[in-house]
Amino acid sequence: MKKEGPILIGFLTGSIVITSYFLKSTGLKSISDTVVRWRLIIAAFALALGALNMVRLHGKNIHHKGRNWQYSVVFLVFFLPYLAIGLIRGSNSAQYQYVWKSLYQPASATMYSMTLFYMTNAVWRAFRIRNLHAGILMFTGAAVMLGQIGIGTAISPLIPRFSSWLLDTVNTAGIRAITIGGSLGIVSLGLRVILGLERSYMSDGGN
Amino acid sequence: MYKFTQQWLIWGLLSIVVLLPLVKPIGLPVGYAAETEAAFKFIDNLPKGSITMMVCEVAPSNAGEIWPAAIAIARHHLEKGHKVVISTFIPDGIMYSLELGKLLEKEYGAKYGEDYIVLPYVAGRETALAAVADNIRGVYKEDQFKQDLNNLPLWTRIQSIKDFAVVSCYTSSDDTWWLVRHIWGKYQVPCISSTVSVATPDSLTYYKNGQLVGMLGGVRGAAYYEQRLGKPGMATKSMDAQSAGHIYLLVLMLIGNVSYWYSRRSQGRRSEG
Repeated sequence: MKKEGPILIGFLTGSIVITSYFLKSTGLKSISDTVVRWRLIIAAFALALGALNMVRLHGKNIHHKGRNWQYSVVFLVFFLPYLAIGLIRGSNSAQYQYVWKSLYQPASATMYSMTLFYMTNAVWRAFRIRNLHAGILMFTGAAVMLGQIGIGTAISPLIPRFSSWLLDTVNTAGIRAITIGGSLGIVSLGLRVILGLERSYMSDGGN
Repeated sequence: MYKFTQQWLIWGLLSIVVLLPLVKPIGLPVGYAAETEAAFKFIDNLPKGSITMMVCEVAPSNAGEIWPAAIAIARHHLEKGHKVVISTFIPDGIMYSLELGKLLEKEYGAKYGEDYIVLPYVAGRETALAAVADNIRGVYKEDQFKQDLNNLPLWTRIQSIKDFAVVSCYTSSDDTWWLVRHIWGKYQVPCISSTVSVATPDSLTYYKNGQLVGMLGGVRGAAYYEQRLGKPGMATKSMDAQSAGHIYLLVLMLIGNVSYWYSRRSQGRRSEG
């Protein structure tokens, strides 16, 4: 039953949701909506579970004075009070928003902005015409970059046209191929889950 | 020591090149963006009183690129007398949703519950969006402020996703794909996507297919929209910095290659000698 239970749940829920997509049955749609809403409840539980797991993991690290345990202290010092404010006062409260705006928002934005410096390094080191492929990559990259900014048009009206052609034709063809390929993969994976052939989602891989 | 100096020189110059236009805008031109023009025209032609949904997937990490787009489109909606329902499927998004609501109240005197509503965060990403598309009233019972949605006049006009004249999404993730799959694909509700620059080539394919009625790609899309609206804002300012940054990167590419070819030539001569 340990194995058959999840397979049965996967089969039933998968079949209901996929069938309701193709058939116009009010009854089936209502069941499918309920199944999809169950998923939302599970996702909410997963968030809470993730938070608990973080506390457990960092608590353990501090207790055993593990690798970089000082960072775990920093994490808990900020995480627990913020969680408490969120739970007690709610995310609309002035206190919650103050912490978010004065601490989390600038820190998070800074982290992301730092990538610009690494990107600049990558441009400096990686965009070298070592062979034909690297040459094509650099040439197209430069054309698209110039096409994205108004100054490209000022240099030559051909630049944005070439950039648009690259995006509309070459890029679209490539992305469509990847998307269709990926989607076919998702369909086959879904079918494997419904039929009970794919068991890697179980804790022991179904073995 | 050499590497340290070179790296810091590159980073130092980058900081100057990006910061200067933010302090003193140059006014570099924003090129024509057909996909953004299509989005603008679509919203502009919606009748007064149309109900619209803005999926605010904005976080501090992507706000620099898509937050100005969200503001520009929200302003456009209010100027045209549209009603706005703001939703989000990421925890950070709720802060920006509330901010957007405050902005609409401050600039246009929008009334909560009549002109706009802020819906709470729903966990589950794509599944959540799919659930909203299939049964919006089943997913939301209360708004972000824990009020019964049925007490809000705007909500009484909404029975299903088909009641929305357009759904626009501001994202750095796969939300465009989800919009196309669950909202356009199943219910043919027109969709607009505003994405960060790196996700633009991906999303552009959906616009080309006609599955999106318009698109705003990165800061450029937002800047174009602001200018079309006649309200230059954050994106227009950022566009100068982005343009300057791109030019700087192109110059770096050029110098890097010249030095690479020069060093290869020198090596070749040494080995011949």
